[in-house]
Amino acid sequence: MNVLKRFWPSSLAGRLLLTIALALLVGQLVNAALLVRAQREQALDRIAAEASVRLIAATDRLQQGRPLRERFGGRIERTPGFRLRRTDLTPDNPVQPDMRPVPALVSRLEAILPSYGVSPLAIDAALMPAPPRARRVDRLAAEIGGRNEHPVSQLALIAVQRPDGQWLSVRVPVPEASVRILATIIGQTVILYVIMLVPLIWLTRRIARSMGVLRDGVAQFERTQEARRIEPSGPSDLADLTRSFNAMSARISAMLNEKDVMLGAIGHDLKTPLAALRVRVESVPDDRQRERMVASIDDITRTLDDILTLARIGRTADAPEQVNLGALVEMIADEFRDLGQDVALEDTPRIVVPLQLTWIRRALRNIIGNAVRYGQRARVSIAPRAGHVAIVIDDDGSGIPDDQIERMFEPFTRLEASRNMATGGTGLGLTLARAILQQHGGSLRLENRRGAGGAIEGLRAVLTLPAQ
Amino acid sequence: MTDPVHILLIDDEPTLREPLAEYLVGQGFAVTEAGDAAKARTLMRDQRFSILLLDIMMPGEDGLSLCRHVAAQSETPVILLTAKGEAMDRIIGLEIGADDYVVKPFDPRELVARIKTVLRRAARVPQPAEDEIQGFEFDGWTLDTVKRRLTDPDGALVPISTAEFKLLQVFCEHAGHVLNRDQLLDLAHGREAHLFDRAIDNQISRLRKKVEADNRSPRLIKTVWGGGYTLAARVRRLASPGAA
Repeated sequence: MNVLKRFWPSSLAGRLLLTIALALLVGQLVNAALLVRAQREQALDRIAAEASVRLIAATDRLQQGRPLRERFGGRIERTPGFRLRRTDLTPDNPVQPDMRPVPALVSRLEAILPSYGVSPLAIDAALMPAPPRARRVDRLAAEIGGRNEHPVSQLALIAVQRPDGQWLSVRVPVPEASVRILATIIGQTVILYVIMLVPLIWLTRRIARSMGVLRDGVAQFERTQEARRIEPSGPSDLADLTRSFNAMSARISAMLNEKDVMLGAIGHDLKTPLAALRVRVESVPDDRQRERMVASIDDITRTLDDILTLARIGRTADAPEQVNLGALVEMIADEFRDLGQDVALEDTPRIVVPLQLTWIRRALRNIIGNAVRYGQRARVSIAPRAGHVAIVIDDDGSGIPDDQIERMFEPFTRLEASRNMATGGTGLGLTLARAILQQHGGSLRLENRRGAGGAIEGLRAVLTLPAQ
Repeated sequence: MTDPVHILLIDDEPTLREPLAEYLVGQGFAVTEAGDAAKARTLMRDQRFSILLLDIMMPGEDGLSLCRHVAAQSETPVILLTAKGEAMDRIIGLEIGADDYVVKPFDPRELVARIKTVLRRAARVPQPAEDEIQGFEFDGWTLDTVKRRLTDPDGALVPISTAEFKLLQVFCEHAGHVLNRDQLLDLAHGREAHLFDRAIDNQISRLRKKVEADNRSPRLIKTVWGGGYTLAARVRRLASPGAA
């Protein structure tokens, strides 16, 4: 099955062509089998007919008391292949047990002979090799231009037991199964292949090209989220699909634009009253109360910012810039150190990567911030790999249960107990970070770091970004 | 004492404008309120204000447009109030002539601090011609003082902190001069910044990590024995950023 799968082409054109070619081949094989069978039936009919004629004639002769040899011998002597067409009268059955019996001939003779007044006690038929001399004579005859074009290598020996117990037998040459029929079939198949497959290849390639245009358009839309009309081409179903896609992408694009406008409005409409509240809070005389109110307002603001950011990812107009990623990581590490956090940074090589600076800075801050918040400290290293750059951030926390890791990327998810509201954060940090990296064609993965004994030593975050 | 500082506060939302005006009055400022750009223009024709607090998103003429007008017509400093915190908005805000911005919701005490800083800067008029400078180029590096970005000789962006940026800007402005720690503190952060000498050394070392090929034998930012630091490179002033 696996071997089959390996040879099974993946593209539509390849599959179509291979399927049609295989179907054609099967059809031609069935065709050939039927032809060979018909030829064999025909040969048997001919042999049965000749044997019947000669047996009936010989029986007549014997009934009239005339010898068998006299007339036949004289005539056959002058005919090429005379040995092949002998009629014999023997006391025993000339069919030997080592000869291949031909029941199809027996049944044919059983049907023919009685209606011509020959009612044998038994009928036997078998194939026997032609005597070597006969073969030579026959071949000669064929070379010189006799009517027997195909050299005979086999004879059919047909014997009937007369009422007096004696066996009357005839030998009839078996025409060789023609090789030409196979050649004909192969030739036919090749011609069919050429006639069918050449236009098919042309057609499938045309369809594949139209589909390629559509596929590129879809990929482009996926990347930029900007609707661009794709010219419908190819067969009508494909052109319809293209038109449907055009309509859909235009609608999605319009919806996304509406969303942006709406988010801008929400951002503005919520932040202005928040700002008003923030100003009014200053007149609260109780310091403790005021500080709590300020903290609540800050929480709301942070969550609002994260939600707005998450909704805007991929919709910014900023083009990616060539940025020294090592310097960026260094700057963020410095920021955390200035706040008294424990962030260790390995030597940063100069790695320049195209990215949107403000976004990647945000993703890195979120992840390093998580490490120092939940894992006491962060150890950051950055290394170029094949085709991409990897930033690895380790902490010394208690990790995350393996079955919870994927869930951590869902919005507003916090691990119970240790990771709760009290430690701050909006529950959107990882969601945002992953979305930002994916938008850049990179990835974010979390895994538990385990010691030699399998105990969790901390959490590891691996960020990748495509290098140019 | 002199006249109180007179603030023109322009915001279409009375829910924010009124308590903010109240708060600022409580802080010893004189405040005049305007609900839209048209009203602000009328007020500015008749009176002189020390500073404008300007909301960006307003129906009718928006804050950016009014800010551009003010920057072109007068020397009155402007602080923008904005709901968006994205970098693009910050750059646009500063490029059209605003002196500073705060992002809503802001800490009113921070706003007061910014107002004082902007006013102090404005008091040093006449503004030096250096305001025309849009960047510096040294040893292949470009420091864009408008967008606050540092680009290396290969054109790649090198992210640096605000403190490092200010320090580098001071070095560029005083290229070839030796600056001691006090001078650097003063020029880069102003006297009100409560920074220690060690902080400057720390920032210098971070800056070197980013611009020096070999951190241990610095070629650009050199330590001068007993004196301080100097930028040992030919600095070219750029009239338009990035034009190398």
